[in-house]
Amino acid sequence: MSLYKKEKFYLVFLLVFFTFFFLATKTVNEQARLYPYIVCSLGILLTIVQLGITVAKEKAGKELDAEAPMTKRQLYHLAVALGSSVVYVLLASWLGFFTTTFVYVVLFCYWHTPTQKKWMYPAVALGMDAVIYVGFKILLSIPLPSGLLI
Amino acid sequence: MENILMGLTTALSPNNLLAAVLGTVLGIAFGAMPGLSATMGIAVLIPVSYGMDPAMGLILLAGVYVGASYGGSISAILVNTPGTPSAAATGWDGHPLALKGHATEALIESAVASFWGTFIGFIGLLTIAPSLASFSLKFSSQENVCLAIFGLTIIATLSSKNIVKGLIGGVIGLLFGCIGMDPQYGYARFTFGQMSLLTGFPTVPTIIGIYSISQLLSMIVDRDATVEVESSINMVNKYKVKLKDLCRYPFIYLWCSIVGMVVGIIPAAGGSISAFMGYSEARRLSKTPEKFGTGHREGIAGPESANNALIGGSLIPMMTLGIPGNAVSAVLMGALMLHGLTPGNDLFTVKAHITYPFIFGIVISALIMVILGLICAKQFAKVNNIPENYLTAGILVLTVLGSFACENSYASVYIMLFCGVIGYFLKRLHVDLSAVVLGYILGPLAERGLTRTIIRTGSVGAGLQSIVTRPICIVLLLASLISCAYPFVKKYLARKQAH
Repeated sequence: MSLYKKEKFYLVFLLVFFTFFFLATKTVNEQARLYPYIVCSLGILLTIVQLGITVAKEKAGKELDAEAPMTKRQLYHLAVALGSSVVYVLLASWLGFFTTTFVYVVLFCYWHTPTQKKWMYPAVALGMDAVIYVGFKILLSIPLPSGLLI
Repeated sequence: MENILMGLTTALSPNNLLAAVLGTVLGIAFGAMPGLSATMGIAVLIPVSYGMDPAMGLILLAGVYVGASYGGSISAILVNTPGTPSAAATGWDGHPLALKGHATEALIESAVASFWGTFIGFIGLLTIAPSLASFSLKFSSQENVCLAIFGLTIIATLSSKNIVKGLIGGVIGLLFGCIGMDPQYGYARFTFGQMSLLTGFPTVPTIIGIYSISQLLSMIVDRDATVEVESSINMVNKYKVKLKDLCRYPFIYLWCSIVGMVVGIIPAAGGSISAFMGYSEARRLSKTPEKFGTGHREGIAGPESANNALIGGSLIPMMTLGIPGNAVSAVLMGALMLHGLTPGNDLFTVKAHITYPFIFGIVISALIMVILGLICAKQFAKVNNIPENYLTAGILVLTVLGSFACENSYASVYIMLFCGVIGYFLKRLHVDLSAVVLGYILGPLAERGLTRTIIRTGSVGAGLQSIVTRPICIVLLLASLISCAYPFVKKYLARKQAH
């Protein structure tokens, strides 16, 4: 995907995003509608302006100041990072924070850099759990998520 | 005076001192690691502060802010990789000085200049903020609308590279602020049947998501190169601190700090600008300007004092008018709100028992910072040896925990992740994330003010008329116009100069 294609893809996505909220504003009570309508209209207008600027730059053959498109490897990293985070939160609410954190930290760290000594992963995860337990639960009495286990 | 004494004594209590030490140490560590920043440090530690007494929690965060502002210079000096963008100017002379075999002198100068900068910023905050806060009592709904408009126009200045993209970011922030019950009538908006969204996007998880999760995703996806510090740490030479080292360039500290503080007061001007201005001012004041760039101590003193004076300066508009001028003060504003504090006059009267210790926490943290900087800057540089996988996993666990603890609900955690993903893609689109946060914070203020004005005056037309006839509103609207026009004028002048 070229830089311009990627930029246009993002902008079209933003256009869809604002249009969705613009249409959703119809479901809001009439007295509370005015402000979201203004905001969404502004969003749509500005995105169209930016889309126009991008197309004009492309036609003029100007260089685009943008990030390089994501490689397949980067997309894979992003998917794993996001997917694992969502699974982590889901499991934490079911199993309990400390158990899930231990499993998550071990698996995530191993996936991220599998070249370190094997015993390090569970040791660091255990250390993290211990620090959070002592610091948050005992010293600061902050409410922590709980589940079936701990 | 009574408040000042109370603030000082409370800040000096053992618990608060401990919080200041902890915050400063963590702040220096955050600042010293390229990729992490004061913003992320504060965002991650807000939940920790939540479990503490408000004054103690805010002192902890003040320590992080002060520590991180200085910490960025350690990696800038030793490895020529600024830990924070604002430390870039410090590296221009700091790294060459380290290469000459005077790394310790460079680190000492950076710590000392940072202390003086923070101290002068603190004096500014202590003297200017209370009077500006009492002036804000004159503000009614019309002035609040204009204030929010002025705050929003800062987006144009923030995103001077691409104003339209900055404005899009601002609108996304405004949209985030629309979610939940509307501020006047309490009707639900964009909740899609979710009870947890009725109260809107909670401040802290939203800000943690926008700043920290987006940064974490960048670190995971792009696998930012870890800085190799081992060889650089060996550059640290043996040097005994002399009394003269504690105030080698008084005029540079003073003037550059004043410049940094003023830049901090101007919303959106930012740390990098203050540091660059500090560098150029130090060069202008120097008797040996030709030595700048070759490893000159004055070249460290200028940017570091300006960069740290920005702390006090940036807190002035945030604490008095509720306008966060930069990313860090936006996150700090979230922390204040979490502790039940609302920016404005109340902060300096009703809540003075929390505000003044927090302000004194800044200067106490600066003192701790200079001591730590003089003794163990070398050790702080070693934080770069922490493997990135443990660092990212640890920060993610803390952000999840933090978001959960703020509202005691998993909905906040999902909101944080959602904001993080949006923030990540906006970053890739080169949209300034501070614009999103400004929109998110100022949107409800603008809407509330506008709705109240319309209700009080009876119609939209009368409401608008009442806005443009009030003197403070006129001044604020003029300031908004200038703020909007500034990037264009700047571009025009640059083009003219180039021709």
